[in-house]
Amino acid sequence: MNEASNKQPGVVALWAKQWGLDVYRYCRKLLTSDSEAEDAMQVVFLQAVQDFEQFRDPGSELHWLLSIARHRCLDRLKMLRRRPPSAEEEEGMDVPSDGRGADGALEDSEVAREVAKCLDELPAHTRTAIVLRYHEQLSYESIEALTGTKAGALRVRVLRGLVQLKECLEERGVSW
Amino acid sequence: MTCDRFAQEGLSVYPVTPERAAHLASCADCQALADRFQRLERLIAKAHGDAQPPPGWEARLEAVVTRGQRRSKSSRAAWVGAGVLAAAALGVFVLRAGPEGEPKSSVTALVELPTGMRAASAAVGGKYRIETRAWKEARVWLNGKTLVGRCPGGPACEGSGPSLRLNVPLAVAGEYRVMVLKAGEGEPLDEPATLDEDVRLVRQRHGQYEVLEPLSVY
Repeated sequence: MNEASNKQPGVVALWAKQWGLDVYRYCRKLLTSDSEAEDAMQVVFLQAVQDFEQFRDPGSELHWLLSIARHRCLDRLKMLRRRPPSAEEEEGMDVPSDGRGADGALEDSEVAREVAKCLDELPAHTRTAIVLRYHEQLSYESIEALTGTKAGALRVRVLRGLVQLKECLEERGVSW
Repeated sequence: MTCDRFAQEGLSVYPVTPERAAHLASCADCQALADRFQRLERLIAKAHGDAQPPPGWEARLEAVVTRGQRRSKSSRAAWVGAGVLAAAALGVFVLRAGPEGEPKSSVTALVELPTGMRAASAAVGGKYRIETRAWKEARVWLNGKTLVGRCPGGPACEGSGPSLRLNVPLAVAGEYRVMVLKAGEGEPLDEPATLDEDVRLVRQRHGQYEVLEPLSVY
């Protein structure tokens, strides 16, 4: 049990120090810009303050925070889908690949970075489905419950997304 | 069945049928392709695993949480929730309020954008809304050199009396800083040339002031 498990609203500040980065990284997978992810992270912790009385499972703080994050990021995506990408996002989409070793091969972490960039280029609904499926290991039925999109359509979406990712990596000359 | 078609038909997203399993077992190319997709799936799980928020994120998060807790403590938790949701819906984000324990310095600075929230930056075209009940004057400086808003007196000023409200258009890129003040004794602080001079004059006459964290507009 960690110090953040006391039943005091102030512990959310400790959670923010302890798990802020985890929440940010989770949000960053779903949202394509650093600032969007940071905004979402802040909203997550604000909601944690607000809903603190509902938290009843000490030891699963991060799980609780990430479940809040999932909903808030999905809300955010719905809102963002109604607007074109910002200049910042467009710039972020065009970062050249780097980190290539002397033998031309990329380290695993570098390949993961290239995958991250390619993920950012996917349409939001495709990226969401892929992240929920492969990062969170959710079943298609669970994703359907979260997003309202039928499991069959999600499978097609994920499959197309994987193919797009594969093509994106090939275009960047990343071997994986 | 070609490997391409095998991939298109759902190499990794559909359950492996006996027919597919049999093909996979007998087709080295398909097996290699399946291995690649599985590796891709593992890489997706790692993607953004080392992402770092913009510098200063910890302080900004702490400020947001502290503010939320303060409101919660004063039995206004419901207001916070509604505020967060409303802020998300309107694309408004609370950037900074006054320091804890000093209600006299309470200032709310909001960025209103047509596109959504921003934590410490905004895009040209948004509106910077500043509201305070505790200070006599509020000024908004662009790059510390151009006064782009003031209240009372400026065109962006929408409030009067004890409540000051400014709605400053973020017309050009740069760093916007809000200064709130009570000037103290002496001549009115009319046309300071820079933010630094503004601060210096207020100090000189033992006035009170606060300069908010900068808002970067791109």
